[in-house]
Amino acid sequence: MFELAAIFLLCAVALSYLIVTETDLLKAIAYSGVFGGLILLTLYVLMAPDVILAYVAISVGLSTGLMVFVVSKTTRHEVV
Amino acid sequence: MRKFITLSIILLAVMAGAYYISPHLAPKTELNPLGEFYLRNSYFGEYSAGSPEVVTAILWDYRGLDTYFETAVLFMAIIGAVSIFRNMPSVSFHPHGLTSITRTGVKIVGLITFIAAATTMFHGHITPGGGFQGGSMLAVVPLLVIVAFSKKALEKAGLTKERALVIRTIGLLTIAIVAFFPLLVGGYFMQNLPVYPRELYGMLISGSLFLFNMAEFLAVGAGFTIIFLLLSNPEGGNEA
Repeated sequence: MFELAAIFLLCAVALSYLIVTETDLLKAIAYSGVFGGLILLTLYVLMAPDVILAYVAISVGLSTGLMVFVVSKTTRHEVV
Repeated sequence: MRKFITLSIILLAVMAGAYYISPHLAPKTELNPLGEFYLRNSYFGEYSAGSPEVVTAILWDYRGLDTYFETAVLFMAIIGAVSIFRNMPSVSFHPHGLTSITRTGVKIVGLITFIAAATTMFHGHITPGGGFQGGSMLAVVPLLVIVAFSKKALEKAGLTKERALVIRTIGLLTIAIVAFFPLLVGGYFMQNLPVYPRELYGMLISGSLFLFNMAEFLAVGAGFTIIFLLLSNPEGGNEA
């Protein structure tokens, strides 16, 4: 079961690299939502239901929504 | 292509690091004494919090002061956001929202989310969950309404920024009153069980845990709603 957690975390590392290097900010937000999902699965494997209940609403719902609002006030593409 | 090379180097480094470090970490074979104390005492035992849910018992009883100040920090953050946006007039376009398919979907999902949030909060002292978890789920509902309908629809339904601020203040006041009340009857700050009843009409309410959960639910849900209402103001509102 813990191997599963390791696989999820490795995918999360890959996704965090994608989030940082992505220049399309909306795509980066979508990636960070998937990142939150992977951390959720890891927490589920590690049997922490209390953390999951808060994390599922905050990472997938609230923080994604906040970021979309913030991006809507600037430009969609990151200027390098 | 260069991206994938960098990515695979990072992944290989992480895997190699884990492979090298993991044999040196001693596996845990027994519970630490503090954890065992909480597990044995949270429902049965001499120092009972009256709750079979150990996490909620720790959050609002054994380590109640931590959660009290955590709530205060969140309150300060929201107050900061409100004071930064204080001069921004409330304007809203997009009066039609998204398509009717999305709007009908949001009606159904919003109701289900609301019920799930309330269930998480009301059962917070029995099953995993509690005030903060339920409150953050509750805050998803106004977010969905703002995105699918409009900010104006939310305000027309009665949830304006001022009312959300009032709900939030009621929640915080309840937390403060419930925390300070034991001092009046000779207990200590945030005392739970002998002061508050363990059961009400045959239902387990775990003393003050139920009240704290309910107040935190209102405070967190309304607090996040204020932030969404402020941020969904269109840009350039000052000139309009």
